[in-house]
Amino acid sequence: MIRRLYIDNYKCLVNFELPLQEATLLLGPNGAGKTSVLDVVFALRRLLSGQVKVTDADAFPSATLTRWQSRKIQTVEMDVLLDSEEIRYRLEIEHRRATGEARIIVERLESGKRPLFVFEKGEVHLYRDDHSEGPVFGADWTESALARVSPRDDNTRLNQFLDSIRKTIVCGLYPAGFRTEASAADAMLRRDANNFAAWYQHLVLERQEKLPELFDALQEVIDGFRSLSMPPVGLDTRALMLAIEEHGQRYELRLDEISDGQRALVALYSLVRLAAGQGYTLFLDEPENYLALAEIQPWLIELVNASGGEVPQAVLCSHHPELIDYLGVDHGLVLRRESSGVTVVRPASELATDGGLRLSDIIARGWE
Amino acid sequence: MPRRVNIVILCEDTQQGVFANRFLELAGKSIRVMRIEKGPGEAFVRKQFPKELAYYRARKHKVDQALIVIIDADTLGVTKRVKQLVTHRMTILLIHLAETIHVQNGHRQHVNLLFTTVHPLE
Repeated sequence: MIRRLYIDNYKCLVNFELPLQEATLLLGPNGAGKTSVLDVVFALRRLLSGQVKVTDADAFPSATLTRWQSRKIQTVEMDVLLDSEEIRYRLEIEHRRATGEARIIVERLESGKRPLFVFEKGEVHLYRDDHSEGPVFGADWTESALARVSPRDDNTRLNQFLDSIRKTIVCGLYPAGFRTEASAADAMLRRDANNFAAWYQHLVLERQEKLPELFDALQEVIDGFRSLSMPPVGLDTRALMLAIEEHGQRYELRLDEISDGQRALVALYSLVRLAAGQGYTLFLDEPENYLALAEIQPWLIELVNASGGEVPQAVLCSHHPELIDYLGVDHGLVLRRESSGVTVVRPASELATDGGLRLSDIIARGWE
Repeated sequence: MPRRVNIVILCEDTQQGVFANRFLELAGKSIRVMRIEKGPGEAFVRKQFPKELAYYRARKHKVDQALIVIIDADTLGVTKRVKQLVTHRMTILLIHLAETIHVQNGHRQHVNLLFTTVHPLE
């Protein structure tokens, strides 16, 4: 579980610190930096999976530097709680604005202020679980050296950290872009979830036993729904199909033949029911988009009940009154840009007054 | 299929809502028939209560309808809090005071909850 994020010199986030709970709702006006927080988590997830270089578009390109500042160093720090032990990860990136080049100058992982991994000045210092010094070697400045460390018996905490970050899902669903066909299972759900079918295929391979639970949930929310399947539609391609039974007739629909809202329901219930119990942390941007009003709260209750347990952590961004009123007072953080341009954060509980107004009403009236 | 709510839970915070929600689930009710109306503090519950009561009365001829109100007695005490609600001229069939121990994040916390079940006896 990510307990704290510190971000400096990234878009509107300057010297910005964000405490996170098992369930957290990020609130605030457009442009306050909610999605930028998710962008940073997604970039870390990609970088620490060894999938991207630091300057790649969905990592930390120079375009992500705060525009009104001239500082060259971008910093991200993350505190993660693993088995009751706090692990701190720090990343410092030096940019050259003129050329768009960038390199990692510091990458450090520590527990209890004692090192597990240090990359500085192009040199990696590995440490064992008991913090005794291990090998020293050179590494590429343009990518995460930590992501390249192989698992061994004496670096279990380092690898637990990497596993937890690699099991972070960051997405804002765009159901119209969901592809129905998949040629291979994909372990990583993309930012807009357009590879949902491939990700579903990956989860199904691992979690067959969870399918009846998912189908039961979807039968409640989609008229006539019976099951999902992925039959072959080509030499190496499978399509995600829904079996529907209505008026005594059974037929199949491709994922692209149902509505955007139904696709969103399939994806949202899959996130809660299939990914549950596998250590996935969810960062979801406006998950209620496309859902019928009556469908938002039942899904939200399921997610919040699962968070801290089957789903270790859920962080949501939303402007919707259903989410604001359900989660806001206890789990809400309001992001707001000050006149200097800097984003600040405060608990939404500070907005709650004794006047009996709902939090969403307070925000809608601009009385925060 | 379309969701139809039969049970409205009016409460002050997530903890109370989850408590009622889990309790009702154990009693065999689905999340899909429940609606949690939650706002900041007891003032919200008191302010919203007459409206919810009116909605409830308008639908009381339907089967399985229920309005569950959870409000903290705070420093007022249970008797005075009940009187506050009674001023709304409802018929209270059943009042339970539950001193519950919630365990969250390893911390034990005593919570005084006033459960008021409204029943159509008028």
